[in-house]
Formats: sequence, structure tokens, C-alpha cells
Amino acid sequence: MSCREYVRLCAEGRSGEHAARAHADACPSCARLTTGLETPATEVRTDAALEHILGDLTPVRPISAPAVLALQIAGLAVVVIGLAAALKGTGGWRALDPAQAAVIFSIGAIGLFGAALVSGRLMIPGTAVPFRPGVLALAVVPALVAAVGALLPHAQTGRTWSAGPACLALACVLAGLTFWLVRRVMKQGAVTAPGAAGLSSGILAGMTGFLAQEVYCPITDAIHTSVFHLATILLLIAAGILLAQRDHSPHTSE
Amino acid sequence: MEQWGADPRLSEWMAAYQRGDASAVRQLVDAMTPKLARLFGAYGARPEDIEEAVQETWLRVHKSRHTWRSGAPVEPWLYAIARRTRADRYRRSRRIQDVEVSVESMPDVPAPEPREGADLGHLIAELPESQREVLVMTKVLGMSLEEVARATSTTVGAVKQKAFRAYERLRERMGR
Repeated sequence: MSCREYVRLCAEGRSGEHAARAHADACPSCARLTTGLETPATEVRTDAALEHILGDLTPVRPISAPAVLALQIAGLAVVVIGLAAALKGTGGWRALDPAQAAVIFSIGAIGLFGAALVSGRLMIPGTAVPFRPGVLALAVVPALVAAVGALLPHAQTGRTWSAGPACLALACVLAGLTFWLVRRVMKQGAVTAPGAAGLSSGILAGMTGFLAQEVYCPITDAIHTSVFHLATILLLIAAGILLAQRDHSPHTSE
Repeated sequence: MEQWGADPRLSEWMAAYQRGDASAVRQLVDAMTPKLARLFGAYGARPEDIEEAVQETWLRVHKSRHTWRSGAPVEPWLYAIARRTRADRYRRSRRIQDVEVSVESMPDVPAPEPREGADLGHLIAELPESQREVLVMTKVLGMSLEEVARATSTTVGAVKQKAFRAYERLRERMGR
């Protein structure tokens, strides 16, 4: 076994395996890697904190399971998309052929439900996430760009550009509403990774706005969709990142 | 190395804490305070700051106590709150207002100066923050990779990658 292989076993918490121990016995440098790290004990008094806690000790109801929280969050997004359909109709959905709709809505739904899943878990400290929200964004956004470019017609119509700003503005309002609602839900928990939480809520809100556009906007050419629909996702992701930075501020932290 | 996981009493105390049991709170605080102090100490906090950091952590734990769920391990939950406390204290101390730094990639807190013939602790102190955090959790607190992933709200794969880079760097420095 090489030192590099030994290091890999250490990193995986497998330094106790027979082959690893044999290597450590023969390599003093590697053996030092697995020695325990002692830190000096520090006497700490917690009287003030305990006094405060005991003076405010009321029973609390545990938060819902992460899956339930994720469903709540995803449910909000679905309600907003339904609201958009009720207000503006389903011209976009009807303008897409079944293959286009299947691919675009599937990718959007993966982004939306993936972000809801991560957001729900981030509300509870000490909960691992199945994937990082940045990875989700890097997977879903390029996939949507590729799907739009490959499946939608490239010929422009008279409304490709003229209807774009209004289409984008409405989507941003819907996405902004989703973003605000999701942040309200997330405040029920205790987010300890605000950067990831901001990004995941931004992805979720952006996907909601995008899917709403795909439902109501009858302009289905690739240019309009790329510029004015996918922009909703990017704008909300940027908003999520900015809000996460604000949450990091010493003036706004708990 | 002390193992602080899988103590069933912690879950019992935490559940009783949620029901408003004062004695459970005292037992939980007594059991976990020395470990939190060791953790902040391992991060390079000055002794006078450790007490404040621990007290602040307990106040946040109290505010967030409803977010612990029965059956979930207490330690990663508690440590995630301590980690956020540490990040916020760092930012407050730096008075950074224009450029904020993500808690997922916490800033490199000035580490203690390495001594001549540096021991493992001092070599770890020289590592980048994200790598040092993984080693502190595993080597000081005896946490598993799964527990570290939970405490840092990330994936086990990401933790393994950081641990691998940290061990690689340590081995290189030890070999000098």
C-alpha cells in the first residue's frame, strides 16, 4: 500500500483496517496522521446562559420531518404556478408539443423539487443534504438551456422581443412571491448554512417563475425562452445569493 | 480519542428539554459544555472567548430547540449551531460590512503560530479552514464522516474529499 492509498483510507475513516495498520506500522510519517489530537481542557461557566434558559423553559413542539417541510415548500411553488395559470391561462403549455413539454417540464420539476428537498433539510441543523444546491443549479440550468436550444424552434416571431419584458416582469413577481413565501417557511426552522439556504430558495423560486412562464406564455421560440424565461431562474438565483450574504451580516445574524 | 457520539442519554435529555424539563437541560449542558469548549479551543479561540462562545451557543440552542427531532443524533445538531455561532462571532469581530463570507466556506481564522518541530495539532492549525474543520471534528470530537456531513449541512462525499486533501497536506508537511 502506498502512502497515498493510506491517506485515502484515513479520509474515509478506514485507518483501522488491517492493510492500513500494516502500512502505518512500517511508515512512521503516516502513523502520525492517525494519532488523536488533544486539546487543553478549558473551564467554562454557563451560569448566565443556564439562568436565561431556565427562565424561559416552555415545552416546544418538534419541527416536522424534513420531507414534510420539503413538501410544504414544493406545495407553495405549485400553488403559485397554478395561480399563474388561473390568471394568464395555459397558452404556453398548449403551444408546446408533448415531447417539448415532457422534457422542459421534467427538468424544471427536477430543479424545483430538488431545491425543495434541500431547503427542507437545511431548516434542521445537523441534517445532511443529498446534494449541494450549487451542484443542482449547475446540473439543471445547463440542461434547460440545452433542452430549449435543441427542442424549441429558432425562428423568431413578431412578439419574440416585444412581449419579453412583460413576460419576464410577471415571472419575476411570481418568483419573488415564491421566494418570500419559502423564506417565511424556512424561518420556522434554524438555518445554519445560510449560503446554501439562500441558493436553494433562489433556485426553487426561479424554477417556479420559469415553469409558470412555460405554462402561460404562448411564445415558444428558443430566443424568447432563452432570454426571457431562463433569465427568471438566473435572476432569482442571484437574489438568493445576495440575500444569503445579507443573512451573513453581523447586523442581521441571530 | 474521545468518542462523543451515540450516547443515548443525550437524546433522552434533549427530548425532556423539549418538554420543558429543567433537570434535563442541566444534564445536557453539563455533558456537552466541555466538548463545546474543546471544539472552540481547537478552532483557535482565545480562552477568554471560549466561554462567551459556548454561552452564546447554548442561547441559540435554546432558541432552536424545536428543530431537534426525536431519533436524530444530538451531537451534529448541536455542533451545527455551534458552527454558525462561531461564524457569526468571527464576522462580528471583524466588523465586515461590505464583503460577507459564506458559512459554508468560512474564513481562515488566524491560526496559532506553528512551533519548532511542530506537532500534529499545529500542523492542523495551518490547514485551510474547511479542511481543518473536518479534521477537528473527526480527530478532536471523534465524529464520523456522516456526523460531520450532518453538522456542516453537506454531503458525505464532500467531507471525504476535504478530509483527503487535509490528510494529503498533513503528510506532505510531516515529510518535510
